[in-house]
Amino acid sequence: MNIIEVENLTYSYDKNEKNAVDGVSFSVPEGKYVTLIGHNGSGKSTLAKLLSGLIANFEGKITIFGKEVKKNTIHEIRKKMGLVFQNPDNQFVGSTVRDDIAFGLENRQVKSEEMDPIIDTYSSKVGMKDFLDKSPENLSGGQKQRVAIAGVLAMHPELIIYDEATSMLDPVGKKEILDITFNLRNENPKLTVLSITHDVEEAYRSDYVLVMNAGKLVLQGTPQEVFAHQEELRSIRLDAPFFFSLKQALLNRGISIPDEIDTEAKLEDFLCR
Amino acid sequence: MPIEFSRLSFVYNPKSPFQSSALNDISLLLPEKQFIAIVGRTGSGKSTLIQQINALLSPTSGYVQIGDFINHPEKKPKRPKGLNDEEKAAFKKEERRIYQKHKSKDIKALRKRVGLVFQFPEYQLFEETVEKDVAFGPKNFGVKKEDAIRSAHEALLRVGLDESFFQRSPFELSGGEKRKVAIAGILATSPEILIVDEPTAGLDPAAAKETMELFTKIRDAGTTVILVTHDMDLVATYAQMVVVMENGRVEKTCAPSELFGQDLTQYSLQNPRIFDFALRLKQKGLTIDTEGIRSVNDLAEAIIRSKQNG
Amino acid sequence: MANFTMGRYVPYDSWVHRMDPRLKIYALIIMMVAIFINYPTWTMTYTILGILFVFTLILLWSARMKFTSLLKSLSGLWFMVVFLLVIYILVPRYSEGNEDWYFLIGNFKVYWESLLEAGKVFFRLVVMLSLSLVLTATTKPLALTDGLDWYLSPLRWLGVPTPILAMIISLALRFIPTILEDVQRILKAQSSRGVDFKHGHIFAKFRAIISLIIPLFVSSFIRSDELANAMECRGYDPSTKRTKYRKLHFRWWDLLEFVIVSAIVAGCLTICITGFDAYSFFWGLSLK
Repeated sequence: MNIIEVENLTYSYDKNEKNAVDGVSFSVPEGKYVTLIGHNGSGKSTLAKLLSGLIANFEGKITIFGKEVKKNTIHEIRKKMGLVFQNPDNQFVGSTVRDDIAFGLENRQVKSEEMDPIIDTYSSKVGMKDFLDKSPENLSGGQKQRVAIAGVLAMHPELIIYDEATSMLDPVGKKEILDITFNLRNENPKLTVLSITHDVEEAYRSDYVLVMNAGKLVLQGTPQEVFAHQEELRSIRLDAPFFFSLKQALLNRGISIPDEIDTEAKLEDFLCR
Repeated sequence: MPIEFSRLSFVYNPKSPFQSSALNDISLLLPEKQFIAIVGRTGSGKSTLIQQINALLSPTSGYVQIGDFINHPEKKPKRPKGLNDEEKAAFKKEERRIYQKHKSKDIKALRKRVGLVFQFPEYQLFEETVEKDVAFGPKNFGVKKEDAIRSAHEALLRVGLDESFFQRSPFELSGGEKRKVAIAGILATSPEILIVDEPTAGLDPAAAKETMELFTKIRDAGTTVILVTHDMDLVATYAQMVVVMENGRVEKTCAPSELFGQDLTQYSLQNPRIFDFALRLKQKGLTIDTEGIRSVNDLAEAIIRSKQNG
Repeated sequence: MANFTMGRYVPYDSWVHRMDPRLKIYALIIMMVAIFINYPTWTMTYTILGILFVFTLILLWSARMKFTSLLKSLSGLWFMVVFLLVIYILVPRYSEGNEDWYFLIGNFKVYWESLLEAGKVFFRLVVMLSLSLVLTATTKPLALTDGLDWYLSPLRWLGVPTPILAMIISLALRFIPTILEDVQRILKAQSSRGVDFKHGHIFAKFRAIISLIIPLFVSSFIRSDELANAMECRGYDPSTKRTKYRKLHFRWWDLLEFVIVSAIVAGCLTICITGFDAYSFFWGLSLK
């Protein structure tokens, strides 16, 4: 079953300007970790806004959980969909970690007595249980994003969308968020993740990669398939993940590496043989 | 212009419930015309340290000397008891050397020579046109209007923004272009020391690479570049010297490849990818020389060398 | 013990900190009434103000605040206070039968009652500010909002959207530190570009302020835009009902404190209304 289906989606902010998203079609199957990569300005942020129902009057069709995204369906859809945005500060609504996780629960009219156990469960899941009474100015960016994830998880989402959720974080914070996300998916194989990012290492770890440039979807496939097109990626300002650049560098220097060497660990073993 | 920290300590909000010590007895010499990286986890004191260099903050004790400018505490320390006359005279002499009163024009002169680009500098833009915004710095430092505009143009071309940008409003540019305008705003004052705090945060890889290469060119033209970052990949590729900070102290000062040859978890830092991979090869029994490695290509060559030798 | 910046919450644990915020707001308001009403005689006025002052000192002490640090945080107002007091003293003021109650400085008549009035005003000011300071220093902004929200809730019946008001206040409180950080950051960024916020003539200062204000507005707009999006995606809908995570609980010691404060103020009010003069009633003294 496809969780997200996008058909011929087109949108422009201004009629006189180029389309920010231009005839994009793709689908995201249930239980997959899909990354959407592209340089800044490739249209991927606009796509994120369209998927979360923050922009109306687009052309084409977006279907999420089998429902077409429209003004009267978006509330229903959002109940099963969680979003984490780029700026850790600007999505932290509560004055403390506790209050922030509670914010979503209050919106869903969860009874006050039931909130504390929920807050405890999900804050410990993201490793923030010891920080429940801290206020955002005393937390790092990575910690704030973990709180945002806890707030999303407390809603039992079937789909999580990251809109460049790690791009403002330091490497340690980035790694924490990714590790948490991969763990979540191991625990719940039905959870679908769509991550909009310019981190190619994250794309390398995902199940399926979509590549955007100038509003169009230019490449898609498994990481192995997509990152085989190194020249094309470089021409649209994208790097190759470390594994692929190293493999390429070795190939260029006359070392032949068999195709079945497709992870860093296998490459290490191959080189140490 | 070298920078010399001498037993410098700094405390935020002294004598209040919010008191916190940020820098602890720092003695450090940063040589001129080098690409220096300052690394350490969030809260290790990196940002506080760089703000001492252009006198946005003044030390609580100790001092930092930048060229002929000495940034010193507001209050003179008490003379220790039990000194003999000779020691007293020496103390007084040292006190006279360090505690010179600064006028606001001295501080301005310092800030002209030490350019500081903060994290997410695009949030400091405010003029109607890109050109005016970049000329704002030089004008503040007393450069004539026409000259300020000329250096603004030069700086903009240097960061890769051509004439078509000069008259546009900075607010209609993309995030990456705004960042370039902000950096040009500092370059326009032609500083002798350029300090950049996480200049690549939020940029896509291609823009990040362009930015870092710009700083390398600036260093080649004879400016000291001080890079504050969490990103060890940047340090491995670009820095000539690295300063590791932890809990307000300088833990280590060395060349990047010397630092990255070892386990960095004690400083809560991650090794750059290339060194991480090399370390794992070492653990699996491949003897590989990591000295001087800066890029994936260097790593590939080192691997091939070690295969040929072994 | 330390300096207290006006209006800042100071995280200690004392019984004043633990009081119900609604009770604190109530206490502040009715104590203000007790401070500002008039009492029958000067001796009664000063006696009652003295009692209230001692009561305030007890509160300050319990909340682990120092009286001297309170005065220090008022240092910006000193000039105004002195000016006010001088005016009060110079303006002739006497009630019936007290026309001759004055002393001379040179040829100038200074009425004793003017002096007493100035003292009263000064006392009122100090007690009022101390009490407000106790409130803000011992109550988390969030708890204060909850308390205010509780008082505003009857207005819902008049069609006032009190939950939205409470949300606005709590968001404002949440973002004050963030925006102060922005101010600090922009201030530093512009200072490194050679802006001098402290010196220079008026035009230069104006430019300096502009270079601070515009970026601050821009970043605040971006923040509010993104925040609105995030809130919407997290299911916030101002038109629907929401539950409340933080519920205020009135405990037995709150009741005790309520009774004590109410009793003190009721006493003051009674004195004011009946014109009761304790000195003449108990000791038969007739004092002014």
